[in-house]
Amino acid sequence: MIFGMNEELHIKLQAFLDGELPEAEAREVGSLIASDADAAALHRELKQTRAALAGFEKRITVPETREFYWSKIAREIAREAAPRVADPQHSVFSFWRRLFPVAGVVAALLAALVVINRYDPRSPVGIEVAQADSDAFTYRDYEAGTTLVWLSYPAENGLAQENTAGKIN
Amino acid sequence: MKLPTLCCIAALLLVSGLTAVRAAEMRLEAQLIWASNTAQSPNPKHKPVDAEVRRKLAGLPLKWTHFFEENRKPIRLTAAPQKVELSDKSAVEVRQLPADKVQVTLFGNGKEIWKGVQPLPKNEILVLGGNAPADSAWLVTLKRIE
Repeated sequence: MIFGMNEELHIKLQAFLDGELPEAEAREVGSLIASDADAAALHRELKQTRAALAGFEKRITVPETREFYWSKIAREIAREAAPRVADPQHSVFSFWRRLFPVAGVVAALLAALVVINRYDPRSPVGIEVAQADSDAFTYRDYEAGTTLVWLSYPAENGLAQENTAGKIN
Repeated sequence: MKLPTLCCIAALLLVSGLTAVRAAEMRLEAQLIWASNTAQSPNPKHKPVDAEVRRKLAGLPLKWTHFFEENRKPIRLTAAPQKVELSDKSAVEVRQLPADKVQVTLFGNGKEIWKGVQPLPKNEILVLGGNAPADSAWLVTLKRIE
């Protein structure tokens, strides 16, 4: 590889090798190869590389003619780029598809409503413990029908205390 | 006025009337209870709580095993809230609310120490409690009778 050679010349040499340059430009590049050692070396290297890879390149052929093959690609590009016009049948399905999430939400709400309506706080669904504030916690046993509210009222202020003298405070 | 409209109004009046009658029937019983782990109370006036209350209290997560009744007061709820004194230190005020609910206010030493709204269907019991000296506890129970 010849380092330091500018990219434009590199591309031109490759194009020269591939026979893609116009005649005038091809002549210029040919003169350069003849006069410039670096250009000649790069041309040689590219030629060798091309020759080395030529054996490994798989030749792909398409059944259609070249023009028809490319026109298919052009048609596909045009089809992808064109705005979609929905046909009536497609629109109906799209409408129902958009309706599915709304229907799902409505169904979930109805289900929740049914559950709430069937909920009976007196039914034996278990025990619930809650702390509404820092001064009290609530324990509820639905099955037994009992609710306990325990207060952090100072013990020395007990509301029903039996002291040793047997006096109720 | 058309007949269906009249029927609807009559039905509404009937339902509201029945509700009012039912609301006026709420009767409760308040108890002040001393909870302890000693089998005998030093107060000869104390007596163990009745079997039903004891069973309800035994089902609660309380560490005490013996419950003594200090005082018991019936409460007949009308439109106005009812306040009953359970001891020199404690009183409870109950106000009837719709849908089998009551608003309960507990007073300790003349001050409001708790206030809450509680569903209280028939035969259910609300227990308010707190620690007392000598590893005992006080309980105020409200039981719906009617």
